[in-house]
Amino acid sequence: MKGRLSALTGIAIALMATGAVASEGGLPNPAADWDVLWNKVLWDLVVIGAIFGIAALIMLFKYRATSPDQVGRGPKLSRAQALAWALIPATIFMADDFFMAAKGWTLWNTYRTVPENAMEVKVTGSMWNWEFEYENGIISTYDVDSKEGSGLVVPVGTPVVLRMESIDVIHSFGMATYRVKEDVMPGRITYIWFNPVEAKESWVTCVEFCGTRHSYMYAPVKAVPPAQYEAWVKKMESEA
Amino acid sequence: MYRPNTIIGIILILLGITLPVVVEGRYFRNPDSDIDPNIFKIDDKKFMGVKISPDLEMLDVDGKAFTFRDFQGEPTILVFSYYTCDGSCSAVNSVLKEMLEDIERTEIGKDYRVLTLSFDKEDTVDTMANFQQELALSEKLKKGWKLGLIKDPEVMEALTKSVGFKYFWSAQDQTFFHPNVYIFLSPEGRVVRYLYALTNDQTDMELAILDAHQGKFRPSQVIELAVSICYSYNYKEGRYTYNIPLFVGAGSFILGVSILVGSLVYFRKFRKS
Amino acid sequence: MSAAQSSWKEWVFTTDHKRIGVMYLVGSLAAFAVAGTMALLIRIEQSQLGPNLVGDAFTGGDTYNTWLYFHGAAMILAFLIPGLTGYFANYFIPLMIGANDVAFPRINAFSVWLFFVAIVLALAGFVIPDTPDIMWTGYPPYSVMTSANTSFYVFTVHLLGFSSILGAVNFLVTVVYMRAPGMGWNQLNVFVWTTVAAFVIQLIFIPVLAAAVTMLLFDKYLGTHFFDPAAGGDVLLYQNLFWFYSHPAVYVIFLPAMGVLFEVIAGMAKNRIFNYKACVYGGVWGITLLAGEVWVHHLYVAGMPDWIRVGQMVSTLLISVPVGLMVMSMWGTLYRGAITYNTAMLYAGSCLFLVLIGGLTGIPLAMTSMTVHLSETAFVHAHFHYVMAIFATFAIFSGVYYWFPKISGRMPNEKMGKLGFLINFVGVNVTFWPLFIIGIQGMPRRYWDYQMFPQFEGYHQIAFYGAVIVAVGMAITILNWLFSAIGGEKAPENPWNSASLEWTHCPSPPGPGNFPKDVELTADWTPYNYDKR
Repeated sequence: MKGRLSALTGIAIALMATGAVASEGGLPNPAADWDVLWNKVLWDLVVIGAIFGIAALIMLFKYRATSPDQVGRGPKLSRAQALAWALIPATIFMADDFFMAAKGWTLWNTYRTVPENAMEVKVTGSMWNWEFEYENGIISTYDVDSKEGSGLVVPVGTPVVLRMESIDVIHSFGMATYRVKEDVMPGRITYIWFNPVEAKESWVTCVEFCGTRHSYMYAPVKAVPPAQYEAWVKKMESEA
Repeated sequence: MYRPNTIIGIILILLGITLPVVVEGRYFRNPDSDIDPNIFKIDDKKFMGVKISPDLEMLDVDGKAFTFRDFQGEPTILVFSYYTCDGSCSAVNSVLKEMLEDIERTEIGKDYRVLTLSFDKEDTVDTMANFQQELALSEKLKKGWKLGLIKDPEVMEALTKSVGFKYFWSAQDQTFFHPNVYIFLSPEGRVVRYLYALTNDQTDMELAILDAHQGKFRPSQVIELAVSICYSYNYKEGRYTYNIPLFVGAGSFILGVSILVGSLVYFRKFRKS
Repeated sequence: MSAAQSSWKEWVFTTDHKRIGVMYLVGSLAAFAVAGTMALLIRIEQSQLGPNLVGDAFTGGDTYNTWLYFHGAAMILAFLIPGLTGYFANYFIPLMIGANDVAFPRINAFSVWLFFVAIVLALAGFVIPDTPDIMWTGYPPYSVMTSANTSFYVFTVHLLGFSSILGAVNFLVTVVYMRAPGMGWNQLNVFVWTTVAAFVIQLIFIPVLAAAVTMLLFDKYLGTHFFDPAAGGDVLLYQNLFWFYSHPAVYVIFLPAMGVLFEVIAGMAKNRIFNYKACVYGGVWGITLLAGEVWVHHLYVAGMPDWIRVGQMVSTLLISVPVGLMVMSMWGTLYRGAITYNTAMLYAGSCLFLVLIGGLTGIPLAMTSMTVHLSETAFVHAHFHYVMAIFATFAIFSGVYYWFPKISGRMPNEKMGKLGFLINFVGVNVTFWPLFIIGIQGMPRRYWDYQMFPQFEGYHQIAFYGAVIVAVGMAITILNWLFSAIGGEKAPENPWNSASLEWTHCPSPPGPGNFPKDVELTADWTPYNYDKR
């Protein structure tokens, strides 16, 4: 059990190392909120796990038979006791469930409420490419074999909403750094938004199985300072 | 993307616009120069999900300014039209009027709204007021149907372009050529669906309104929700068709429950005494 | 009468539930061995960046994807479900309720042969040139567009589904109407309850899966458009129908696995089930009731409307209440027990921790907003492997060891058994803990190469070592069963001094008709009646 706990702590530390930076402006940052909630959930899991794990360990050790003929002396519950042993734990579990649901619902609203000033980019998934179309008509792609193309470039400080569609099978647009993903499918439009709060290069990966080159369906996501972004837009416009 | 019917429909409606003119004979031209309706085709998949800026400013019949923000919160049917009708009125509004009149379940003004916008830069508040009079909306429809125009032609251009709506003025025919399309916007102002005046009936209209809710229903709208789940949009036919797999799935679920209940009832004879 | 002495005809034409049970065990363990080999191949492939076993970056994915498909489909459909609801249910339900056989012995024989045909068909899918690569989920449009053969998958599901439905009707009728005189509902073994619940779930939900895959077949080969959005189909509906069965299918695995553990723990701790009624009516039936209302948590990031995502977040979290009640009863059964440790009890004891890890990591995955990041990552992979692959498999192993004397008449070799357990336990934890960690950092599932995440290579290497350890442990375990079945020490009638009917009222192994004398039970009899005070 101790090993398990320390492994859990290991997860927490590993996570903190990659933890997203909280937004400085008034804008919400779902990625940072995700990390905060994750830490709460992790504590919840560790506490419940520790209580039950230690209890199991103690009982497994303590109640070993001392002679082959020994039988267990487990309590025979009266009706009231049986009911209490059912209702009280059920209430505690349920309270924890509703607490989690409320926390999850709050964060969910952050994920689904796109800020008004968000920059819009149209994402088209296909086997096995991501294509990004900006509002001014720029189209950016990335070739995984030649490593050419710039992928999704966004200015730091501006929330970005992605309007996503697939032209063939179901894909899923997953950005681990921004703690967000949503499937991309033909005939329907899906949305996600994220808030790039610091200059950072990360990846978008396809996370819904889509065939032979599923593992190679990725592209860089570059959050760059606004000036650099403007320069990139100019360059793309002149090339087009 | 269209059924042949759709194309025929567009041709017919274009004929409908031009026919009176042709019959009058004043503007008779060589029939070879007819408009190819395909150029109006909206590639709906390309424009689905486009968001119309909530700050877009428009004028209403009283000359007062309003923005798209007023249309957020419920689905909107956006209609592009023009208000001057000397002889050939745009049919798109009157067809919609008739269809919406028959819709009972969803209530205009409460569950959805209609916004007609003029793409004609010559239109003024006066021509708009005139047009409204000629359109003669019923009391019911007046509650949620607004006419508007955008003063700046460039803004108008950008708006129509952003949703894939193409139109042009034919000097020789002295009329506008444009698709008779209804654009369904989600409560956030995003394009959800394109339907057409001649190919779609009021059932399609109603289903598109439900579709435009994008799953955001009030608890009291549970029947509407159920109805919208039973249909899915058919891009090939350009209309809503039954969501057959759903019924197959529901049927097989009922089958499973019946096997369970049936086998327990039928095999009572195995009971040991 | 031992297995070696009987002719093959007696096995092929048998209608005896015990032999049918053993056939299920053999078939499912064969599927387990093949699917386990796939798992090892998958781990080797992922252990280092770039192609290891498969070809190049352009075509290598195809081979790897067929392994993934076969591993998932065979483990769930051909090992876990038939192992638990085929072997355990067949062999022990009639014995536990004091019946001579099941209600329809010949239909039972038909079921097991359907199962074997299904396994052969699934294996045949692996030797045809266009091996299915559609994952065990088979989502369209990919499964319709791919050049691989989807029909083998569909027909395998049909056969297994049909087999399961026949089995479910058979066992429900058996349990409801054929219990020994005097056996009331509250005197049933917990395993019987969990299995009955699993069969109810199978009966209600399998037709939906069968319908979904049939429509998939029609879409692919007959040109219909059930799931083709361009022609009015609903691209998401397949996923909904699929998980409408396949999430309850998790409970078809989880519930009997818990049932086996209850039997082993109560038997080895010589204790009554703590709060039996809460466990059965709250836990088992609570899970059954909620099973059909939580499937959307598999589609949290699939673009479903918000109301259903949030609604099913609540129902999914509430699953913890009935599961919690079963856990309370299982822990309580240890309380003041008299535990004797054998291999079966070691597996059962380790399951207490495995179910904690598997269950608790399910909590963030039940929350819509947490899943937005965790979905389709190695975290999910590790979570459901803790529940299904490790917990359920360990429960099956625990049960196989516990009832080994019953079915073979011989004792399993405890030394080899304990060694196998230790190696397996270390191996599975070494394999799956790294996956939790890289999952949180965003390692996607179903990747054979991960160029963009070179930092995860070390973790994959550790997981690979874990898989090798597991392979050793599994080999020891299965060889141990083989050798013990042939040359093990002769078992006494009731080696664990259990109070349950299958041990107390019939010889090991039981002959035809099971019970030498008709079973009659008194009102104070329970299968856990150790403490006679």
